[in-house]
Amino acid sequence: MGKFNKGGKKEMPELNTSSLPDLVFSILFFFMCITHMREETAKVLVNTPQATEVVKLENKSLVTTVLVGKPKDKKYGVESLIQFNDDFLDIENVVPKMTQQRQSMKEVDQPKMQVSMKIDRDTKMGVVTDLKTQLRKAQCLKISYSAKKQIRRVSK
Amino acid sequence: MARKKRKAPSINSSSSADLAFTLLIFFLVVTSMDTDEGLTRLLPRWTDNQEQTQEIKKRNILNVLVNANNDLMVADDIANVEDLCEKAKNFIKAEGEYAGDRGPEYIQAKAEKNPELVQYFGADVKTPKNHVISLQSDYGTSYEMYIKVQNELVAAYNQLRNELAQSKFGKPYDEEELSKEQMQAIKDYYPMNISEANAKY
Repeated sequence: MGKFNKGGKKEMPELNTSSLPDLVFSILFFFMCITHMREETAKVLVNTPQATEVVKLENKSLVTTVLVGKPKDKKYGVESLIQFNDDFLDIENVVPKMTQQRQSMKEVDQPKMQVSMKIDRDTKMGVVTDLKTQLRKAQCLKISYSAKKQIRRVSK
Repeated sequence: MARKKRKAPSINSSSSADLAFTLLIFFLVVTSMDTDEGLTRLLPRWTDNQEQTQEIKKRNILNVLVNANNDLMVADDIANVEDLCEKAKNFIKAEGEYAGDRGPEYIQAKAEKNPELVQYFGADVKTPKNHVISLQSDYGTSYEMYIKVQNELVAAYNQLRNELAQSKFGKPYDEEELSKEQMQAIKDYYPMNISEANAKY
């Protein structure tokens, strides 16, 4: 019959961790692939409003983002400013900049260009309306008011 | 001297996991997976001649005004944002307080123009295609309030479209549930006509 070794203390076999680096590296590569570095640093404070009926903007390559808000650095004043690609944008320069941006896109994508306006919730509508007028002049007619998703509470 | 053949000592690789972890955590932090969301709109084309106006019958317009104090006015009455969705729905359907004498004139047939609508809703379909919701804001209106109002209006359309899809096709108004033609038919039935007039100075 079998022997039962009661007295001998058995040690737990050590777990082989030699494949752990490979595992971690594969996760690392996954994140490296999906990461795209944020090119622009926000110079304005933007806290977008909440809305329940938001739709996701598909296809990031078609979307151009414009930020509107109060500048973080007080030396630029306290009035709301427009930021586009790392730089403040004067309202007169919206049309040439947007036209330039459109020309840098693929030709098939140009009519599908979409402008996402990330606007701070405390902004006055005057700035927004001016920006919208300029966008119309620049033929950027597809716009999106960027907002955070919120669950709609059911009334009644 | 007799030389021993020595094996090259293997490099201790137990720390490479830690190294990889550090890199991993770095990329985890800098990765932004956020997708942009928002209320999408199609702006009207810019024309140099801004005098060019479109004649719309007064009864087909729902005026929504937001002033600099963020007060809301809907069709000559002060209103709450919470009631706006219901009011807009009633207006589009020409029901409730907006029924009056509008009825058949307001809701006009567009059957011959749209073959998809004929297919799904019959030849003598009448849809509220002529309505316009005119949203006017002031220079001093806050953007938060403006988005709230916009959101309520979009909600009104979404609810109407959803109700129609449920009653017609028995499915919610959703791209995954309905076919492309069905989606388009419902969109044509309740077209989103929101006019964002320029701010008043």
